[in-house]
Amino acid sequence: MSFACHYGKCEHPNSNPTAPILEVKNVTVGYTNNCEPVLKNLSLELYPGDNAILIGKNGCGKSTFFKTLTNEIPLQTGEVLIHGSPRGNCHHLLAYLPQRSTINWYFPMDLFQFVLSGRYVHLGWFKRPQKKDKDIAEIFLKKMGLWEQKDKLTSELSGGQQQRALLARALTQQAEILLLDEPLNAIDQQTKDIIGRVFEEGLKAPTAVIMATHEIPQWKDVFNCTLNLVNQKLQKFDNINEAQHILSHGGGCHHG
Amino acid sequence: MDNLFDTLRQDYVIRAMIATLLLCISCATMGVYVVLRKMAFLGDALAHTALPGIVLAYFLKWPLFVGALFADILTALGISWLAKREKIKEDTAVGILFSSMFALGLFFLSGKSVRQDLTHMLFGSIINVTTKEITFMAITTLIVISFLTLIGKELAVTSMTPNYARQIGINPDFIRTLILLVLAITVVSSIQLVGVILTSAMLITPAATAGLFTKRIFPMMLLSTVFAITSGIGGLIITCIYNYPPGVVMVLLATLLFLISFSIKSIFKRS
Repeated sequence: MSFACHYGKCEHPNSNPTAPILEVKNVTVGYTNNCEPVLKNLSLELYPGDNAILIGKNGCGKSTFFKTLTNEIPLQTGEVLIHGSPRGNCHHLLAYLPQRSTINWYFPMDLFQFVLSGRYVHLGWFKRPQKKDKDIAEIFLKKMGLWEQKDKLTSELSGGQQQRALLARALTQQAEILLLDEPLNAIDQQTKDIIGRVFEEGLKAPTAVIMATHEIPQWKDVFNCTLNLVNQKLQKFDNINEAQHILSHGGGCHHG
Repeated sequence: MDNLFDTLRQDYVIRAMIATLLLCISCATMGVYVVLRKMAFLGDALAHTALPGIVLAYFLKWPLFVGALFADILTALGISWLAKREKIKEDTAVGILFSSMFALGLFFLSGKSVRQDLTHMLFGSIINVTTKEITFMAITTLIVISFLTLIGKELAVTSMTPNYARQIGINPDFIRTLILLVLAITVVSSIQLVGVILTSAMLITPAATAGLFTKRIFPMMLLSTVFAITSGIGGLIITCIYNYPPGVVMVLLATLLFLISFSIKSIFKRS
């Protein structure tokens, strides 16, 4: 497994402004070399303003696709580029919201520190968060309606609050690419409304978003393209109706 | 009573107190992470694997803690390495490593006339602490405190969300290896205090007691240090009066504090 360790060093030397914000080129990944890969020769280009809904049945490889982009699993072939340079150099431009169940919420950390950890990628070793970092964390805690809870331990929060905390941390990173792994799964209506409002108010431009989901939210106008993960490949459609159509027909992933 | 104060004013007792204070600070603060990251078994393992190093150092006429440190750093790196292979579960690997290293230590010991000299490594001997050993303990305390403050935010992030840590460029396995190395140094210090067999108690019991009262890391470290020093210095004073092995008394006191706290906690919960 490769661990590009550029923690805190934010640079992308060959940055190309006309290159796609995120480019996936012929990527194949799998968990062991002998088994059939989960994703095969997959390619994708996203430009600023591309806000995509990612659909596909459970077990289709949506989380694997995200892990590919975040460098958590090694690529068997191909490459992932951000602004035209390898993602290891500019991982600070990519913020990832993992599924809530993957986090050890019982480790004692208060909510403010949890959201503030979204800034760590910009700080690196030994540097402490400055006032500027704390201000950014405060903005997103307030937007998520969590400011009153900021001193609580994360284990004391409700499921919906934890989900909002995750989104607040991802936004606090102020990245240009947001990867959201099922942020709407098993949450209360209040949380759904708050997340919707944050998206409708607009994200920091220029941004590209990929949100994995099983339901089309009411605030679907925020999104403008559909990614359908099917048979180890990604299909891209330049509208959101396609996602609605596929989901309503129970489709998404047709394993042969 | 006057007799006791005279004893406590003696040079060797003051040295023992300084050593105990230093060790309690490093064990209690490091212990908080050992408890929170569920590494109690590893702490115990590191204490036991020090034995062959101690015996070897004895034969080579090195300071014993150098041998212990050498064996423990080797074990810490060995565990990190084994944990990355996927074929063996980590606790199994640790179990094999620690009992075999302890057996190896006992094997070196068997039939030799050194047993009497090394008993104090098995049960601790803070009374005979040398200046060299105190220096080592002071350095240990400094390493532990600077480790916990300088790497604090990375420690927290890798403990809570290792995947996120990896995504932002912090390698959780690297942090884990660092923890194991600092833990190894702490354990070797603690061996001086309570010996190979009881060392894990000094790491775990005060931190676990503190964990009954608070769930936040910094208050937990402070409280854990208070509990550790209470049992450490308390144990030392009792030793001066009754001539028990100091390590044994310290561990029993720490356990007593835990039981009292646990009872208080249970009563408050019920009412």
